[in-house]
Amino acid sequence: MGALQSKSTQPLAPFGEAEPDANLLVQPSLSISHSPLPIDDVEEPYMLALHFEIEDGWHVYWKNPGDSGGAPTWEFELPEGVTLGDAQWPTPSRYHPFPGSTNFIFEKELVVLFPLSFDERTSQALQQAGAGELVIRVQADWLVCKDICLAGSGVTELSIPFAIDLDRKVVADEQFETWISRMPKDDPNERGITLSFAGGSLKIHAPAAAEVMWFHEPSEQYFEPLDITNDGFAVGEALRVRYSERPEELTHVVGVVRAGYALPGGGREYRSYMVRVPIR
Amino acid sequence: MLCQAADVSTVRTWFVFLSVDHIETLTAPAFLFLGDPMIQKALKASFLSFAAVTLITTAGCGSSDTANASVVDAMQHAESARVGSVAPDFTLVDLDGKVHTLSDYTSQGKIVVLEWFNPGCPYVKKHYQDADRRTMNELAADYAGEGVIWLAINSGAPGKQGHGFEMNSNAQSNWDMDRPILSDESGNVGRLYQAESTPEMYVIDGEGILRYHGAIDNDNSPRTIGNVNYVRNAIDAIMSDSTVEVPKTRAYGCSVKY
Repeated sequence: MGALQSKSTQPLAPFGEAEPDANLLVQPSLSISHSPLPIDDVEEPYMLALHFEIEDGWHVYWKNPGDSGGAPTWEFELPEGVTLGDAQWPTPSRYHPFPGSTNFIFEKELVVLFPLSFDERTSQALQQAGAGELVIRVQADWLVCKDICLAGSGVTELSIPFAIDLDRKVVADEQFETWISRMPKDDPNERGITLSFAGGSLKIHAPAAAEVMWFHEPSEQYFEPLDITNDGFAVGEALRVRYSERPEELTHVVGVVRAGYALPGGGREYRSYMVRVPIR
Repeated sequence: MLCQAADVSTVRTWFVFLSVDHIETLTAPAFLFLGDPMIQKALKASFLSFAAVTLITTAGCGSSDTANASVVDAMQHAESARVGSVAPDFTLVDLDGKVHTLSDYTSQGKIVVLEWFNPGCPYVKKHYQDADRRTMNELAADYAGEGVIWLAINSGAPGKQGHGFEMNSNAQSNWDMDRPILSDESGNVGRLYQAESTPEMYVIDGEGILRYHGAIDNDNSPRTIGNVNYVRNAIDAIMSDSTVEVPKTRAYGCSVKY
């Protein structure tokens, strides 16, 4: 059974006058991995997707936008007892708005995934009800850019049918499998990638890689790569990322390492890993 | 000495070279950009226009190639803006044709705030559009009585978002900006300061030292205003001879439209 997807409701008024309507350049929608949601099957991890469809030629930003830009933001209205876990972002691309400046962006689409769960009381209440609908609503705001930047927003909601005692196993939608497969993985060791932070620099070694990239995840305190244009990408197996002075309370540097491997027939295969590297 | 730095028909940018002695006293050479159509329009209505253009067009400069080389060389050797170091000096012209030189203010012991500006950028708009929460205006007004100088700088190139005399003039008027907007359409001053976003803020103390560089506040959404204003905190610290607790943050906003 296909994933359930929402349609946007009326967007908010645009900022610009003679400029394109930023509310139409990006279309947000919600999807749920399992439909109907089998409330009594606690084994399955349920995922909610916030999907931004982006007009060709425009882009939105990763959680760290890079040297400029701004990440999309959202505010969910959830049924009581329903909670969403941390947002899971796919790996972005590097983009240079002008020489010497680098942004981390998404073109065409951005899908952010959230693990969805119920507290026990809600789960019991829903099971007692047997079947019904849960309504999730989100207000999303975004900056969308090409040679100009515009701010847009939209509201979208999703009605999720739920049921118990289903006579078949409800499996995650294939689309979700694809989206989940695009997320950075947890274990860089599967490719022998090693990372260390010492002397103010992050050092990455990705054996057999043809290129290596680093996407720094921002922290509360100011702690940034000094030059993501030159340090955030390298041809070959090794990358060294110089950092600003470290605030004492920070013990780890967090981010995504992406390695590209040359394929025998041409082209590249990319692997991304979310890592947390202790600072020494 | 005044020199035409490039073919006026193609680049239309002019540089005013200060004397060698003067250059040596500065962290970076000061430039005066008069080729900006936005500025030219403003200059047409001012006495300064006549005086400045007359000076430039009548000055003997030798070959423009030599002048170009000198400019490029000087820019390449200019020290970029760095917190804790002397802020690079510059000279730019505002919408009314008034010339502003950073060192003229800092030599008087004035604190100077630089705000990289693009009236088309949503992140700039969020601090201006709503008359009830004009972050920059309120902040500038709070410290105007203390002699703090606030300069907005637009480094957008012709044809890019937020460029042009009319748009900037309208923004200044509609948003009640009681302070100058300086044109840097060549982007040279922006690059000197490594400004990448709008808004991007710099606070320079009365000795010309850059004391803060980064965001205006701690809210990087395009709609809401933060509850910590880094520029206010930096100005307060400088005025009380204290350390700026947060001297650098990540600026947020649109990319500067060089």
